[in-house]
Parts: sequence; structure tokens; C-alpha cells
Amino acid sequence: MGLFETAAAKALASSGVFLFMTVLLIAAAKRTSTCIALFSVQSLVITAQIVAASGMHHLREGFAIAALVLIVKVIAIPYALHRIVEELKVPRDVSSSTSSSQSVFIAAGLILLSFFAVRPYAGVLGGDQAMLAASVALVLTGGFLMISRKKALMQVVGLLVLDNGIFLAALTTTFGMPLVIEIGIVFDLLMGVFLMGLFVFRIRDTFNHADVSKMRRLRG
Amino acid sequence: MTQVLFSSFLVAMLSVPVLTLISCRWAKARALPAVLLMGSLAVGIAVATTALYGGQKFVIDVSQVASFSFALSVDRLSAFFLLLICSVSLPVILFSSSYIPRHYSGARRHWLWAVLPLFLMSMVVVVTASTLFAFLFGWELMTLFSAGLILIDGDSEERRHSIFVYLLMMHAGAAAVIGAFLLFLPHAGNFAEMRASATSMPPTLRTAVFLLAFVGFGTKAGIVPLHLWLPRAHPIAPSPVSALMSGVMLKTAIYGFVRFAFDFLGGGPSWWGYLVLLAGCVSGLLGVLYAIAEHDLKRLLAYHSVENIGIIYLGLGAALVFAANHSPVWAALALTAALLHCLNHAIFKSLLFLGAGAISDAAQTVDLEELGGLLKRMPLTGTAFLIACCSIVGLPLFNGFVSEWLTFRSFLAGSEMSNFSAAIILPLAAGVLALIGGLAAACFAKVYGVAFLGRPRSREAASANEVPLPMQAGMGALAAACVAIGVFPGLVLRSLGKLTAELLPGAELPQAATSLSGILPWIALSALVLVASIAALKRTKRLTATWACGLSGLNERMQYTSTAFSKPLRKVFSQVYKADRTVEVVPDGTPYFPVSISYRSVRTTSFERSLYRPGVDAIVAAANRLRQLQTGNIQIYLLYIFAALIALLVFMRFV
Repeated sequence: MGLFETAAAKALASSGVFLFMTVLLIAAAKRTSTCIALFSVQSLVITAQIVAASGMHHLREGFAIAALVLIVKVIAIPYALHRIVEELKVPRDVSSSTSSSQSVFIAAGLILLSFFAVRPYAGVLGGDQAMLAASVALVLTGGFLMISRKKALMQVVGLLVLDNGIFLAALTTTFGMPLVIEIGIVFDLLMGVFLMGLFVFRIRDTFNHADVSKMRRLRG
Repeated sequence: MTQVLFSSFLVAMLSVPVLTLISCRWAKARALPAVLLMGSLAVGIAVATTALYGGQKFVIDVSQVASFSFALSVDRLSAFFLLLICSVSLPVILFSSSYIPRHYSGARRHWLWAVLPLFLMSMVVVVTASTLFAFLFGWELMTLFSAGLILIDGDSEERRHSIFVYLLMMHAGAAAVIGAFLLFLPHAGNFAEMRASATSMPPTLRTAVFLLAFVGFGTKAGIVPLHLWLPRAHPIAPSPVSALMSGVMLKTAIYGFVRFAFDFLGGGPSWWGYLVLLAGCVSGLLGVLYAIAEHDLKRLLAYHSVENIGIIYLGLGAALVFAANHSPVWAALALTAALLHCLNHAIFKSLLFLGAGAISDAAQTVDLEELGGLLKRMPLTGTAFLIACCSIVGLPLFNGFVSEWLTFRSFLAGSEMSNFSAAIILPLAAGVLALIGGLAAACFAKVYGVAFLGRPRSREAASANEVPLPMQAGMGALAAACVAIGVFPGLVLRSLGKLTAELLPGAELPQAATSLSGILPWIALSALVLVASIAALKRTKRLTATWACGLSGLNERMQYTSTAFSKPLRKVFSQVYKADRTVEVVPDGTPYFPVSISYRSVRTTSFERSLYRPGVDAIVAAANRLRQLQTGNIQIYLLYIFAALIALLVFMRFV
């Protein structure tokens, strides 16, 4: 085993911890821009994981996927979201329905729940249990962000975190999907963010705010 | 030969809508759709008559060329109902050929001429289908086309609500019918297989099939309490369409029920019969009682359809009871009576609805309170309507008498049964039938008296003119059929006897039926002689104002009204009606010097109140409670998903 493989294995084993940290920090964050930056960091960790995993298993297309994720999730989407935050000119706090400390506790609870939930599969997956738990935790936290944050933009961030979780789950259980599908998913996400960004502007222009909790008269 | 004729009949019917499309471009061809439709119906009558009297079966099977099993076959039962559909539709179409151009123009007229043949076609498919697919195909189309025909007259909020009720109940009924078919699986492909597999079915399954068929077809037939749609949907259709719906479409439900109960299942335990009898009694009584209180002629006629369906069900129930108690001869009589009443009701009810159409054509209203004195102004319509009234109340020498008398005869024969409960219940049902007949007579005395006799109650009624010739001819043909069957019932009874012998093995019509057809022509002849001799006697005539008892100075506002005429009966049966009466005096608190007094009486049928209302209320209340889940807040919806996800995660951990 060469030096690169050893480093990659170490990185993979410890990257779960980084992901849990980003999750807790996003839950604690009070400003939208902080959340976006944390999402960028989170995506960077996942990119590193892809590089490490494909290095370990000598998968050449893994590097292509990593490059794709790096460009789209670490750079393009966070940049676009930052631009939106600047141009929206609405208050920049996330206006959460739970306080910062409560959110952290809930996120911690969700992490515990995800460890609890993936335990039956520990035998099947071997050492990757923490990774699978991290992916479930990302999905749950993404959902939690979408529920508790009132700003329309935070729904987008929640969805992105959720998507990271699904991506990571695919990565840990099957070493990622084929390149074509990954490309499809990533572009899907890009289009999704594009559309939702558009909608955030429309919402702001129509209602003079971007607070989804005030939009409740659309029901039949 | 008949097979070729039948195919050409189907093709001709289907080509009518195409022809309508051509005729809306080319004004000279305007009359063509009606002519072709009547021609094809005449071919249909010929086919049905050959099949009914000859008794040979023929099949048109397209299962080999199509990807689904679609086959039509005509046996005696199908032939009888095919004859009913074609022979009643023909005069109705003749009537419409003049009625439709007078009342509808442009797109609506073309639409009517395009959908009418399709509606008739769907009913033909229902009664001749020999596969599950073909039957249900026709069954659903029949509902849709009839709803389409109702919609032609407009789509105001109230009408849309009525059509919604109609479609809703038809859907529920169709679900029960489909259920009844599916219980035959895996032998539900065609009717022959179903018939063969029914004998080896377990009794509980047979009962389930029977009950589903009873409810499903009962909804279409309009038995109480499933009749709710009938008085709403029938009155708002164009009159010829009402005639077809009330006269013909309801009979397809009877066909389906007979096909299931007698042909497939071959009868069953006697409680099936008692259930059908009970439905018949309730429908007959409540139908006629509600009819008496109506003064909208078309709604009144719709309620009478409920009543007559009740009489038909009485016959069917008696047949089931007799068959269960091993007396096939009387069962055959009761079944014959029921089937004959189907034909009779189809004839006179279409005639009555056409009469209502003629009245609305001449006087612009079918509200009895605004009619009067129409007999002098519309003599032929008045005569035809009188014949229909005599038929529906079952006076001798008219067709209603024959079938009702046969039903009576079979009920009275029930008293000779060895089975104790049957010997008690069947004669009691005869009493109910007698009450129904008497009430119907009172009701039609009111209708005819108020609409055609007396003095006109509105300017429109006073200036009414006789309708054009094709409309008279359509009504005249139906009236002639009423009298023909009433005087010579043997025309139909003999072939019906063969039909019932096929359905109930080892049965042939008892003496009672055949003797009737021998006596009636002589009674008719003597009645004719009596009438002629009375007419020949010269009598002095004295002219006074109508309905004034020889007094002068009475005006039309002082005559009996429809509401007044029915008041004594409504008083006697007040438990059934439960009217809401409100009297408003303006200004309030000055009872002796009012500016105006208004009186309003709303009659809600007690069934609606006590049977449907609680169910509807419960559903609405539950829906309102569920509505609280729908906050409209996107985050709450996300929370639901999130909660479900977490619950699943925890659940999977413990499984």
C-alpha cells in the first residue's frame, strides 16, 4: 500500500467527523451567507472523499465526478447563492423558528438518530458505518433546515444539504453511480437552484418579502 | 340473414353522427339524420321481432379481430329488450324530428342529432352484449351520453348540481355492477362461461353477486332509496330525451337485473325475493306519493317512473319467491307480468313525456298551475295524453291493465302456497299494489283535469296551438300501441311466455294469462258498441262556462288548482311529506293590516333528510377536520414528510 492509499484511507475514515461538524455549524449559523459558505465547505469535504475513494479503488471516472462536484457544488452554486443574497436586499438573518442553540441540539439528536438507524447495516458495510450515518444525518438536517428556516433561500440551502446526503449515501454504498447519471444529477441540481433562485426573486417582487411562512393563502 | 340485418342496423346507427356532420355543412340534408335514424330503428325492430318470435340466437363476435373481447349476441331476453328500445325510440325520434328544429338551432341541434343515436346505440350494446367488456362499455357510455344530452339545455349552477348527483350515483351503481361481474372471476369473460360457473359457486358468493347486482342495477332503475338522481335528472332533459331516459334507459337496468338474477344465478333463496318485493313496495308507494304532491309535470312523471319501476320490481320479487318455493308456473306468470310492464311502461311513459314536450312547446311551461283547457286547443295531444293516463293507472283495455292484472293474479295465487310466510306476504303485496294503483289514478285525474280540462290559467295556455304533424304522429303511434297491447295482449304474451320458459326451466304460462287475451277483444268490442250507442242518442245540449257549476261571474283564478286537488291526500299521508311552511307578513307585527303576505311551502323528501343527510354531513365534517392538516404553510408540509421519514427510520430499526 502506497502513501497515497494510506492517506486516502485515513481521510475517508475521518471525513465523517468533518461532515458532522458542518452539519452542527449550519444548524447554529445565524446568517444566510454563513450557511452558504458552510455548504461550500461541506461539498469540499465530499469532493475530498470522492477523490480518496476513487484513488483507493483506482477508478478513473471518479476523478471526473470529483471535478464536477468541485466546480458545481463548491464554487458555482455557492457563488450564485451569494449573489442572490446580495441582490435580494432583504434582511440577511435566517429567521429560524427555533433558536440557535435549540437547532444545534436538534441537529445533534438527528445525528444520534442516524447512527441509531444505520446500525443494522453495520455488518454489511464494515468500517463505513460512520459515513452512512453521516449521509443519513445530512438528509435529516437538510429536511430540518427546510422546515425551520423561514427564508425562501434557506429552503434552497436545505435542499442542497439534503442532496449532499443522498449523494454521499450513493457514494458509500455503491462507490458512486455511473458517470452519466452523476452528471445528470448534478445538472438537475444546477437547474433546480437556478429555478428556485428565480422564484425567490419573484416571491420577493410579488410579496415584498421572502418569508415562506407568510405564504399560506395558496390552499384550496 | 338476421345477423347481416343486425350488423347493418349497428352500422346505420353509427353512421348517423357522421351524417349529422355532413348535414351541418349542407342545408338540404337537414332532415337526413332523423330519416336514417328512423330507418335503422325500423331495421332493429325487424331483427328483434324475428329473434323474439323465432327464437334463434345469433352472435356478432369481434374478439378475434380486436384486442379485447367484444361480442354481441341476441337471445330471446336480449331480443325482447332490443324490441323495446327500437320500437319505443322510433316514435320518439319521429317526434324529435319536428321538436328539435323548433327548439334548438345551430350547434346545439347538430349536437343533439349526433349524440342521440350514440345514446340509443349504447343502450343496444347493453342489452345485446355477451361479454363483460361489451356490457360495461355500453353501460358507462349510456350514462355519459345521457348526461351529455341533459347538458344541451344549458349548464346553470342548479342544473350542474343535478347532473353531478346523477353522475355520482351512476358511478356508485356502476361500481356495484362491476363488482358483481368481477365476483365471477376467473370465468367473467363472456356470459356463457358466467352462466356455467354460477351453478358451482358457493352460496355466500352467490348472495354477494345478487346483492351487488340488486344495488347496482337498482341505482340505475331508481328504486327507493337509490332514486335520488331520478327526479333531478329527468325533468331537466329535453322532453324527447326525458322520454328515452325514463321510458327506455331505466329498462336496461331491469334487463341487467333479470340477466343476473334469473339467467346467471337461476333464482335463489326466498329472502332474495322478499328483498326485491320490499324494494318494489317502497318504491311504488313513495314514488306515487311524491308524484301526487308535484305540480311540475315533468318531475311528476319522473316520480311516476319510480312508482312503475316499483311495480316491475314487485313482479320480479314475486317471481323469485315463487321460483324459490318450487312453483315455476306462477313464477313464470309473475316474471311475464314484470317484463310486460317494462314494455308497457316504456310505451306510456314515453308518450307522457312527449305529451309534456308538446305542452311545453305549445304553452311554454310544464307547470300545472299555469295550464288548463288544453284539450280544446290541442285535441290530438289531449287524446293521446288521455290514453297514456288511462294506461299508466291501469284501466282495462289499455296496456297498463294487462301487466298490472297479471301481477295481481300472481300475488293472489301466492295465497295457495304451502309455505306459510309466502302465503301471507304475497297477498299483502297485492294490497300494496292496489293502493299504488288507486293513488296513481288520483294523481292522473289531477294531471289531466288541471292541464287539459277547465279554463286556461295563463295567457300562454290560452293561446296554445296544436303541435305540428310529426309530433302528433309520434304520440299517435305510441297511443295506438297502448290500445293495441291493451286489447290484444296475446300479441306479446305468447312470445314472452316462451322467453320466461327459457329463463325458468319447466314453466309455461298458466291459464290465467292466456284466458285474458281471449276475453279482452270482446270486452273492447262491447265497450265500443256501448260508446257508439250513447253517442248516437240525441241529447239536448246546454252551454255554460267551464267548471262554474252553471253560475256566472267565476273566473279562472277560482278553479281547482293542482295543489288544491292533492291537498286531501297530502293531509292523509302528511307523515311522508314533512313540508316546511313559512308565512311572511310584511310589515312585521301588524297581522291585521299587512302590506303583503307571502306563503312558501318547501317539500324535502324525507329520505334525503333521514338517509342521505347524515351521511353527507359526516363526510363533510370529516373533510373539514382533515382540512386542518392543510395549513397552506409549506414548512408544515415539509414537516409532515420529515416526520414520516423519521418514523420510518425508527420503525425500520425495530423490525
